[in-house]
Amino acid sequence: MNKILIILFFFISSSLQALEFSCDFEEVHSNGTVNQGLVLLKKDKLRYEYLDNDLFIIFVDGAKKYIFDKKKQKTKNIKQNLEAIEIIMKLANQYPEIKKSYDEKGVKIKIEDNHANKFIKRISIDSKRAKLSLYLKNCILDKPINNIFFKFDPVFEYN
Amino acid sequence: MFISINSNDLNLLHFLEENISTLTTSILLKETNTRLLELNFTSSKSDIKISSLNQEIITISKPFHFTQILNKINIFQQNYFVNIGSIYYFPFIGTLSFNNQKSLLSETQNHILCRLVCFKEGIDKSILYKSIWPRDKDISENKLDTHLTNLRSHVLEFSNQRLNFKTLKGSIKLDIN
Repeated sequence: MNKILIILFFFISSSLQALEFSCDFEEVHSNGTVNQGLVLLKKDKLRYEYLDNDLFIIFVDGAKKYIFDKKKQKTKNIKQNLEAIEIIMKLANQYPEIKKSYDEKGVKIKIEDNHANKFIKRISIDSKRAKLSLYLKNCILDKPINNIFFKFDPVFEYN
Repeated sequence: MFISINSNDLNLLHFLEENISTLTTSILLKETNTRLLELNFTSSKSDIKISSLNQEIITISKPFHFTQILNKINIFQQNYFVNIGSIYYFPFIGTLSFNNQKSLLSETQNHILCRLVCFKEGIDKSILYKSIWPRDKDISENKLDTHLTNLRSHVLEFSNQRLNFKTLKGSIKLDIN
């Protein structure tokens, strides 16, 4: 699991805790890989789901993180070194008066806003481990998201 | 983009209505006299079949993650088009197609055209304005008219066809035939 992405999830989840949102996302990696998906955030809960059925869904619930393997249909806990995350969270608490760029311990983060809705349009991450841009599109900022979408074990399925 | 949904399963219909509007930018309409993507969800014990006029039926097996159904709706939206004269207009993608050529509309142009196409009887100009620029305190009719002119010029330049706008009592309507 890419540590940079973990940083990103916590950056989003910590900086926008007062918000509740749903966005389509597009990750554009420096090697040309593009991944699309849906990200939902509600308070301290996050769901980051890749559309590709070979990929996975990441859930954040408070300080805990889980990954759901779509192929194996299994959820497991993720334990990662969160040192960098803590740094980002500290910076992110400044939201909405957030800086447009950060450079902490070799991880460079730049943020671009969408002028129309004043929300984040692009987050670029540049570190030794990875370079990527995360674009947030079609964001819905003002509608309450059903809690069932944050259930991770078992992951909610419509029957 | 505007869509309407229907289902033989009321629970499913309520579930879709609630969550499509929360998780996507699609706008669900129930009004008649509209021109939009109509999706029908036929639910059985084992699956759901999604159908729409002139498009292939897509089946999803139960149980399913909600994002699976969003993906399928997305496919229908991408394939949906409306004929404006001899132009094919794809509102979800925001493109025009004419004589095997494509033209991408700006976000504002697509926003306007999508509404003019959807509401057959026209749309109040102040409602249209507020939908584009919700933060504006005052309505500037010149601003909207400029964008309408730009849209018409864009279409004319691309296809040599003129969009026919009709304005009556503050309402604007697009004659697409």
